[in-house]
Amino acid sequence: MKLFFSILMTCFFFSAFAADPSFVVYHSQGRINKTGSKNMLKKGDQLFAKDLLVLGEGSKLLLICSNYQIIQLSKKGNYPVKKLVAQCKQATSYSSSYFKYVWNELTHPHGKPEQEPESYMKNVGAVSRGCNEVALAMQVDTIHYYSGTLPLVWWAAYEKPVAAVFEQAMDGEAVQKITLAAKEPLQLTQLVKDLSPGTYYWQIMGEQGSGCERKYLKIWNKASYLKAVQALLGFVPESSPAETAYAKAFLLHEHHFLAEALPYYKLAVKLNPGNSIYRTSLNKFYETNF
Amino acid sequence: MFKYLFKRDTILATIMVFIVMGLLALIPINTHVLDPIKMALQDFDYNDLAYSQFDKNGHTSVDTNIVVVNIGNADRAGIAGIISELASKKPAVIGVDVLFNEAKAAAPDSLLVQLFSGSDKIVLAYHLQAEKRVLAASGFLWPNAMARGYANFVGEEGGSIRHTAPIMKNKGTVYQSFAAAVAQVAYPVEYKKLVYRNNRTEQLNYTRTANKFLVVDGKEILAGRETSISFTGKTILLGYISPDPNSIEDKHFTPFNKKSVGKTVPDMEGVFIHANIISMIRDHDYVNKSPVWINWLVASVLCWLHMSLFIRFFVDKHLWFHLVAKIAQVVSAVLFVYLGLLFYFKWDVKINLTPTFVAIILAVDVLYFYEAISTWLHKRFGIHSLFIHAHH
Repeated sequence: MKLFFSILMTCFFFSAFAADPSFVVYHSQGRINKTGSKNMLKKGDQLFAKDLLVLGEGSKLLLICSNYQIIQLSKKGNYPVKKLVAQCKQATSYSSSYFKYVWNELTHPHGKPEQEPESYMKNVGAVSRGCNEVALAMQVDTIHYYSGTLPLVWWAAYEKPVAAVFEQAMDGEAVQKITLAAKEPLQLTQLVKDLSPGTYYWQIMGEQGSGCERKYLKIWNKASYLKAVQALLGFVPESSPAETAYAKAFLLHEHHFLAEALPYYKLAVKLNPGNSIYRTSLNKFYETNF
Repeated sequence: MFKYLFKRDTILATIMVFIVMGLLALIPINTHVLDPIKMALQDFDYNDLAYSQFDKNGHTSVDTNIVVVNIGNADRAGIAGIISELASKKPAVIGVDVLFNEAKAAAPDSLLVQLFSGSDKIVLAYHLQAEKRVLAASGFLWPNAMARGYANFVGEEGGSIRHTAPIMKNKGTVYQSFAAAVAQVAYPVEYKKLVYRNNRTEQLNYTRTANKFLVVDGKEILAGRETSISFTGKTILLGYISPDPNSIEDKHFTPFNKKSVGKTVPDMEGVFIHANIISMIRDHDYVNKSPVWINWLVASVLCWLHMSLFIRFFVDKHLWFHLVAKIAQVVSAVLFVYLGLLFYFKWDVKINLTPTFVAIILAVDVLYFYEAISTWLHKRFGIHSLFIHAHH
């Protein structure tokens, strides 16, 4: 017992001298390393006073101080972490914060709306329909899916957008979440990986969970899916191969079987590349100018 | 009071008040940094009392030329249906006060594109983004519209809406407000008068509360039911009116709000504010501001009268000087607010009484300063003044 107690106390003693991290990486962009590590810095990495940061050209780094201040580095060069710590301390002083506030207020006289209208136009007198934070090339309010490739070209106003799948139309925890890479289409296969058949809702949202209305997603089992697709395709009259392929694609698209429609659109374009309607319909899947 | 009115010292002290005001105005800083009252009343205007407390324009009758159609929870196909149905009734203009932010479904979006691009009598609202004085329109569908206007009002964020900017120019692009765009179609002559005024902003003359506009439920229109209201030749505004009085969707603060200062809930839907602006343009019922020279002339005369009174008590009855000065300042404040509101209430004229208030408040302090200078001038150069034999 005495031995255990001694070891415990020794651990406590040495832990008091253990160095706390000076910073945690909040965001990194571009080529950024710290000395002694070949890996690029990534979110969540800890930085200690002994470290030296090396920022490459065009890189950007946001660090969280131990007092939760954020500092930003964006110029190429070497930065000893020990020196960066001072930047955190500057803002923590109550007195300096107070006088900084007073100075900012003193030097920023409040304007008048009637004299500078462009600075006072935040009130919009109209009801909004639709979300202005996320845009998708395709109208995908509803998707029926079992398997197949379906790229969804997107745009989001968020700095770090993620795609998430939920079991509820509102609230609740995401059952699946993937981080989206800028200018890379969202692959539905990746988003619904390992999800069992059922009804889900998905959305592109910010890291903090802010987002627009969730979209409906039904994941089918193989048998039911094939049966539903076959039932739809049964309505398509036989015509020229290209026209038949396009008719199948259109019908499946209208019924939200998008992953199933895409290969038929591709087939229609392949069989008749000169048809502008076929090309326009296919291009909608890859449209980036929206 | 008039004993010292035409004395040299009274006139010089009055002039000194305005010199001090000029010097204070030169300081490029926000001197209200720690003034809680000023901070709390940032979005306060005395003239709001004319609406909220004294029922300005309370006598105005219902506007039968503007009909507001409530879209409720109609989807895009529903909105397109309402617009088509209304267009068939030959109104003067249809203003669609709805922001379409993104593409939704091909069929209804195509219907709306067809409607907006096919008629210059259908005006679509859009959002004008203003960041660091750079303006840019945003949203979906608005580029297709033949007639369009931004739905933004001018005012503190989340504050009372008192102004509108009919036309904004930025980097060679001209943007028109939604209400101005609607007025241009429905009342082209009156619109020209608005443009001729050439004001960057117009103070809103609210003539009607929401219940003084004709409102029709969009569902009735969509169902093809006959209403008792004729739409022919009228200005139709499509907007959202929530059935829940506590809803804040597209609701804004206006001077009609009974609670002028502090925490309260917004009181008027955006579509009714646009309706008020349109009716103001149509009736040429603008709020006119008194010329700057009149504001300063009034300030000079009133400051001069006060200075005469203050000097009278300063020199002859100094014991009562501070008491009289404070009473005079309070009485004057009440009286001037009354007169300012009277002009606004009766004749839609907004008088800026700030210079008058500031001059009267500064007069007492400046008087002490003037006395000190007079004494110094007397000692140094033997210049006589009223204050040389003053005992206090």
